[in-house]
Amino acid sequence: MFNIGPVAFAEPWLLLSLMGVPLVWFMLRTMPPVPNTYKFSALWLITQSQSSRQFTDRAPLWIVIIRLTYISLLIIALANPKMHSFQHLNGSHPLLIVIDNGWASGSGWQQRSQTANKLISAAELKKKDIFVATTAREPDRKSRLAGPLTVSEALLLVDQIIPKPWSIDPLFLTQDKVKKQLPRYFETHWISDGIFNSKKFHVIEHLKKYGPVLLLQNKSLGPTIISYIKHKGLTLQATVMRSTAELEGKTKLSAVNKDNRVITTSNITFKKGELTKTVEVRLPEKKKNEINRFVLQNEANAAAVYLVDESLKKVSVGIATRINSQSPHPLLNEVFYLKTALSDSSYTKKGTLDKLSKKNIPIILVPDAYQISIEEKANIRKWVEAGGTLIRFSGPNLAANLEGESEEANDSLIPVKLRGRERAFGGSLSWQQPLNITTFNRNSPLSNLPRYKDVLVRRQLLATPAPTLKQQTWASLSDGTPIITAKNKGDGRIILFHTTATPEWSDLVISGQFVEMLQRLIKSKRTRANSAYLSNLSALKLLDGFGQLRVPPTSDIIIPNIGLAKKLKPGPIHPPGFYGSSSAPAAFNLSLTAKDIKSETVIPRGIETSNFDLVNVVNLSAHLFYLALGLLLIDTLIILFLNNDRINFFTKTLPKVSLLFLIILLGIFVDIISNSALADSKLSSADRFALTASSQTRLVFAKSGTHETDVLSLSALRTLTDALRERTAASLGDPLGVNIESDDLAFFNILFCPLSALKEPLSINVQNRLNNFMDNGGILFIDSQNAIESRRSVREITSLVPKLRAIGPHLNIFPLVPITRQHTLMRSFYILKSFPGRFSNEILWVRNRQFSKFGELTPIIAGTNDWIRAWAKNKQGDFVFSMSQKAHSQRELSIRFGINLVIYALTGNYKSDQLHTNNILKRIAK
Amino acid sequence: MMNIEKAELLAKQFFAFQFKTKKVTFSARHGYHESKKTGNRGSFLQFRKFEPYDSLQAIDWRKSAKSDEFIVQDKEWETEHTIWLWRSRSPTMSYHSGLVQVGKKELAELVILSLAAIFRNGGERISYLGSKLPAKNGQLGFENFIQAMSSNKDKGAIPVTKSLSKSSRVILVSDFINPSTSFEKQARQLAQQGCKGSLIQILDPAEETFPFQGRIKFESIEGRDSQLLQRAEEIRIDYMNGLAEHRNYLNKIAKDIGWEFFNFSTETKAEVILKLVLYRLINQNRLAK
Repeated sequence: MFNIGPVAFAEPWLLLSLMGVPLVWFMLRTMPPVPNTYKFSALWLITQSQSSRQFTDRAPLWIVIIRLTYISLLIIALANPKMHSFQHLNGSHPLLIVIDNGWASGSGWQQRSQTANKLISAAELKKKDIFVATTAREPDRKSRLAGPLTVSEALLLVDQIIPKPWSIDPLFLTQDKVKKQLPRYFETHWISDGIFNSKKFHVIEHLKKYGPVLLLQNKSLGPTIISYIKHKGLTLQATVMRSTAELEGKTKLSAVNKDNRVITTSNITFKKGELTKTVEVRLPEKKKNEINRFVLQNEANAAAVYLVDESLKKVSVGIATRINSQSPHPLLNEVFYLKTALSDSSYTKKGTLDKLSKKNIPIILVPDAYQISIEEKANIRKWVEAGGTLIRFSGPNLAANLEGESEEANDSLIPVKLRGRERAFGGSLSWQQPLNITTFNRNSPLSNLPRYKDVLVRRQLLATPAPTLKQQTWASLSDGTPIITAKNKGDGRIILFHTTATPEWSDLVISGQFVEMLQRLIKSKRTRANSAYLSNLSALKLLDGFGQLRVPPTSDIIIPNIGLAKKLKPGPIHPPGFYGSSSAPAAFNLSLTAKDIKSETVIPRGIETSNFDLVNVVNLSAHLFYLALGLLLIDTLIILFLNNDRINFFTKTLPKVSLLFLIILLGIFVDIISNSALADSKLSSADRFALTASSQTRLVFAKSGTHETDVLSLSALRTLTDALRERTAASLGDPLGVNIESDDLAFFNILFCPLSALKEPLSINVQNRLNNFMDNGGILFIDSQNAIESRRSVREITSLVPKLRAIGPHLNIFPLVPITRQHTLMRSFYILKSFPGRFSNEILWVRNRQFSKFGELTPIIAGTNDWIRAWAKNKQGDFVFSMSQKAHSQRELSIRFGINLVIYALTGNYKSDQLHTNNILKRIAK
Repeated sequence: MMNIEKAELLAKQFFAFQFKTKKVTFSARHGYHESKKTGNRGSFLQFRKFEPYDSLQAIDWRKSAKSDEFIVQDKEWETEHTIWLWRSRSPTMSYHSGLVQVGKKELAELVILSLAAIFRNGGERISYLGSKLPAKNGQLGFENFIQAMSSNKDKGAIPVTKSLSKSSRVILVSDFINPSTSFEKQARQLAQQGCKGSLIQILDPAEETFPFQGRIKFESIEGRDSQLLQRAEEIRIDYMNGLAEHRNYLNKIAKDIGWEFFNFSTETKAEVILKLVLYRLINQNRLAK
């Protein structure tokens, strides 16, 4: 870079050619412009008149000056000059650049690092010493202040700075050690992460003692985060926060599974002045357990990602019941207490043991009132050995039946041998007082459970002493008698509470301790080895400053214990991420609160602020080119003017020249317009549409008006087009989105129409257009994209028909009937038995053939299976949405259905009996 | 090419013009009869081949008998009373600035044709100066005139015809812009034969006022010479002075030889030119009486 004042030249050597300008001067002066010639009759009179005068033929001085100016301008423009403008860098004092690189600076990091780069190049112009400081702590306690640096060192350093996924700590700038490294007077430019709090204020006040401080921040770049996510009834409740509330804001919360596919997305709109917003995410259970993390889209910071582990997932827990086995009074009903205690962490299902064990439920609670029949015993034993966890509760029933049970203790469904009768405390005939639960086995899932002094146990079933008893006891009363015992059996486990599941024998069930115990026990099933509660966890995947999960660089990043970790704040030593084993990772989130993200809206007086455009580099060459061009035009005009007599000039030359000017201006205009991406060709939009639509056969979808839906539809049809090209003879053009209200549909065979693209109710005009389209052989494919699939949604499937009636009462599509297996659509390419999309509902609606103009050919195909999302891929070519089940085979089937659909649209019933001639012949032969 | 219809129309606006002097009328009648007589009128000029326009009576049968072709004996017409018209075809005549719609060449042609038509209507004998065709009156003479006019190829020099009678009339139309000394000689030679004449100068307005501005390179019409002007407007006054001087010179010559000199610009309408010229002719005749 070669600098003259604030202007730097990228190719300064070109400026050497300015030395040639005097030569041009000489040539221009001696070589005047060619004059106009004019044939004239009385030349001798002119010669006679002229002979008295003397003159040399030279170009006028001012023309030469104009020409030299624009030649010089051209040379300078070619040297690619750039002007730096910055108001705040004064003098040549050292410059301290403070860069916020905590979690909040992930979004818009590009801009921040660019600003730092610009500041450095600006400082170079002013020949300043550069110091660079970062505010987020480093893992190895490395110094965060560097300097004085040369420009290249500083640029290199800034390139290496990346945002960290933890909070910033700018206070180190006030330390004495730092003071020693810095000069006595320096300017500070603070590239802020958009959060201005008292800590920062304090540091800035400190830095102001040394020189001016400028806070660079862009309010719109303040971070948005997911603070926490918890269960609320059947839904997940997410709390999303942002740092500034000056503007309206929109963001999207997506639940993402392990394979980075979006499970669901909900829109979040912040109103002006709103900092916190809670959203409820409603998902089917199966899907909920697939969630790996929540992500705020378009937000690239570590706090915009909320990792989800087992603790957030509800487990299905069975409670064994029989009709009439329980007291009708809720307060005496064991099931009531169990359900209430489990409601936060699990789903409860009731039923007989047989039923429950078949439903693939990992944990079954057996209340005392439930009598395990002999047939059930065998089944349940197998179930436990296969990995089930059986939790039993004591009570009068169990006590009464002990004789029979304990005979074959090895095979029984009770972990330890029990004594005949229950032991009662604190009764009128007893000296013993009710006791607390005080001891938890350190090797059990219940280790470190807090003690509750007010929980008293009044009755218990006692175990017969045995060598293994101590090991099997997970919790005991203060006198050492076991209250919870367990026994591993096969891959599973049997756990017994030596007291009731009602408040009859103890207070346990009505205390928080019971809830915690059950949660631990339920979780312990999943993590089997229980290691999460015992040892240090090593990092599995860590969040980086941009909110991306990455495999940690070293394996020595550990976190002590999840119980402790709750009190830990993520930092350089414990970055947020997944820890533990990959089968049951534990999530360690930033879990920021409103306090962390709070930013003062009013920055105290005396602190100068600016946005990031403060440092601006203007490329001058375009301006210089335009200026030179303008001078060239003026020069041309002058020459034309000089060489013509005035009459000719105004009547003939000027119009031509103005035409030329117009063309040039038009060129510049078009240049500017095309720069702003508004270039428009001369074709009318309808013509252009017709041209693209008819040049190739294409799949088309109805535009819904919302960008995301359209992008999805487009990518889905691309997938389908590619599949068609690969597998069939149909080589279609790139899919196209059409506006059903205005675009001509006559060019298309099949129109893919997400239900959301049909606004309810459709105008008569649109209905007529669609009718017209269908009457002329087009097929309307409606995908209602219902997100819920389950048995119960049959109602929802059938509700599509009334919905369609509501949307388009005048559409010629009724009556609709479910498709049959014999329909050509099911045989047009593949022989299909079902037509799954993301979901595999059983009904696909077509028009009744008696009413259809083309006989068996239906003009409409409508269904709820969400095919479009099933086909949609992201930019990387991965499918975006997960399937409801058996992902791979169902995805393949959905694509096969798409192929059938398109082939059906292209060929009609032409192939209904020919395509599978071979099969038919075979069948006949049989 | 030549705008005969227009000329005829113009001519109709004027009465049939006839020189009223006895001499002229007599001569005219005389000339008419004379042609019927053979031999003794006029001196022998030449033998030549019979041309379609010759009358049968003109054939010299004696001479023709000696050869295979018909021979005609041309007599030199002692036309004392013929009106000789001429317009210049010098290259400068074709200069047309565009300031006025009509160019010099067209106007000169129109004037000369109209004059011819007017004279024909008056029964005068007319001929194109330098023509070899016999001067006649009536339509025949007009047609001969037109033919001679269109076939004539002189480059601006006045054809000096020796056999003009004293009572002949010469009307010359040109821009007379070139300062050639030959013009003076030719005019004097014509005048020496005793005939009266008129010089009609027609100039383009651009030639009269020199309305040019700016840097212009002027070339002669033939393209041989050129002159570059830095500011054309500066020499306008000098130019106009030079032109006035030239006119004075032409005027002086005309006066010298007892002819008349008119100058017009192409802005002037043909009717006006005709009126002025005819008016002067009538006046002269009166004076001559």
